Amino acid sequence: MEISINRLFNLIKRELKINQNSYIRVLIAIFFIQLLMPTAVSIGILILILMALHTFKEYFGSPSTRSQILNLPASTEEKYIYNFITAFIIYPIALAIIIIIANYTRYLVDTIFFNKLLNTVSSLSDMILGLSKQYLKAIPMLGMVFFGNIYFKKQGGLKMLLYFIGFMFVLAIINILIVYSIIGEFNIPIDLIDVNLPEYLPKIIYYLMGVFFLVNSYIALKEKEV
Amino acid sequence: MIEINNLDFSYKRNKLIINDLSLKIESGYIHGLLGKNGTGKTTLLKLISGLLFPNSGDLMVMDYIPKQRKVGFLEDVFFLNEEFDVAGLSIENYLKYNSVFYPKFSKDDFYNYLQEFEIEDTKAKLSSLSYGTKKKVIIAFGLATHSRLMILDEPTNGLDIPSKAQFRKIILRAMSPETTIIISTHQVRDLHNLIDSILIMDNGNIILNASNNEISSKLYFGVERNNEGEGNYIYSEDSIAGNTYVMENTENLESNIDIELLFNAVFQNREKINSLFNNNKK
Repeated sequence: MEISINRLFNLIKRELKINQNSYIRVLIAIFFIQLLMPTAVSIGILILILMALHTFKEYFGSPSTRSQILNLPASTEEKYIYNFITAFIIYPIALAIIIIIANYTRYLVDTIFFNKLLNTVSSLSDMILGLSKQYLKAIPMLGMVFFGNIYFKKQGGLKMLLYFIGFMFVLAIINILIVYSIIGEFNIPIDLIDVNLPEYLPKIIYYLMGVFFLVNSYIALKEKEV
Repeated sequence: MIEINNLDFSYKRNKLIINDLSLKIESGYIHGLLGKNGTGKTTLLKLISGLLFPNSGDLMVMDYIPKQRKVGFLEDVFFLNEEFDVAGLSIENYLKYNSVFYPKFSKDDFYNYLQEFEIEDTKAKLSSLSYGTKKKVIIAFGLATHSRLMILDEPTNGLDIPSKAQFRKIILRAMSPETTIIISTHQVRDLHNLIDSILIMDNGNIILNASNNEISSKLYFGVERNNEGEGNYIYSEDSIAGNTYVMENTENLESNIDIELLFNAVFQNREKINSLFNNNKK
């Protein structure tokens, strides 16, 4: 495995520089969404996914775009890790900071211009906790996007959407089978839909799928052609 | 430098683009890869640079297997695609964020090449430049990487006439015994006085692989003013100067290689060329 911290750092720097204008625009959009609609953190998460999609456009764009990154003197492992760090660490941190700034800005605006009182803003620790929970929920989805955009050559976004629908469909079937194994019939009475599945089960499936996508992303990147 | 044995490649299952190709390319020379459109030139170059993976056969470039894309390999191969994509960076930023990946990169050389191409505004955004100017910047960058293998796919497309002359001059200046350059083009006149050896491709295979010396020693290129052909030409065609022809060089005469004439001769009289160059491929 060829991994150099220096090259990794250079890859991240290059990526952020090339797409800096897009990122600034997306972050400004998130700031205003959060400022005007304080409960819209989930929208922020969606935008985060869009940002991740944007990161990988080099991989699912035109052959000439792909050849740029594939020919760049860095190992497959470094290209994988740099994508991972950008999507799973740098973006969420940037998103969290912008959401926190937006919340405090809203608090200041409310206090100064509308004379509302202090309890409109959560404490910093509460905000970070809330954002962390959102982030954990988004990890498998980010994993899918990560995999999809590395894997698919053309129309990555569309194929990823179809893939996601397929994934939800499979999850639904697994859920139905689990319910069937518990109550013994497919015709599930409406009051049993809320049946108490073991709490860990969906989580295990969810995270196993996340790991599966991450591993596949690596294999796909290694086998990537123009 | 490059050794290829029995290479097969196809984009679709039943249609081989590269068909049982074997080839050796020596280092320290400029090789011209010629061929009609769609004969597999770009595909071969992408296989050599590791952008495509062969179906079967052996492919070694500087003791590396290209499909593994090892860092050492990527640092020593610069591939200029015919169609390239430049981010919305200025020339300076393009240099800053990409040169760090090439350990032998020389900024001075880069700026010198830009100067020779008469590009002065290094703050200009690449995306705002014309196709030809972008190409000049990328060529300058590629040469400044000092990669041991430069692969240029249609480098003169989009360059104006003075730029083509500058291109030839810069390429010759950048050459060193460690450097190998492969230039693929269907504009054969652009390679005049530039290449040391000629590779001609057809139907996914190499039908001629010979150095200029070998070609000059085996073929004679001449012009006949009064159009009274002797009849033993391998190939001839009418031109403004008269009847230009290629014939076997049985008397060790000296002549300048006319690449276009040679190209046509290979396609018109392949058997004769094969027999002269001991090439059994059809």
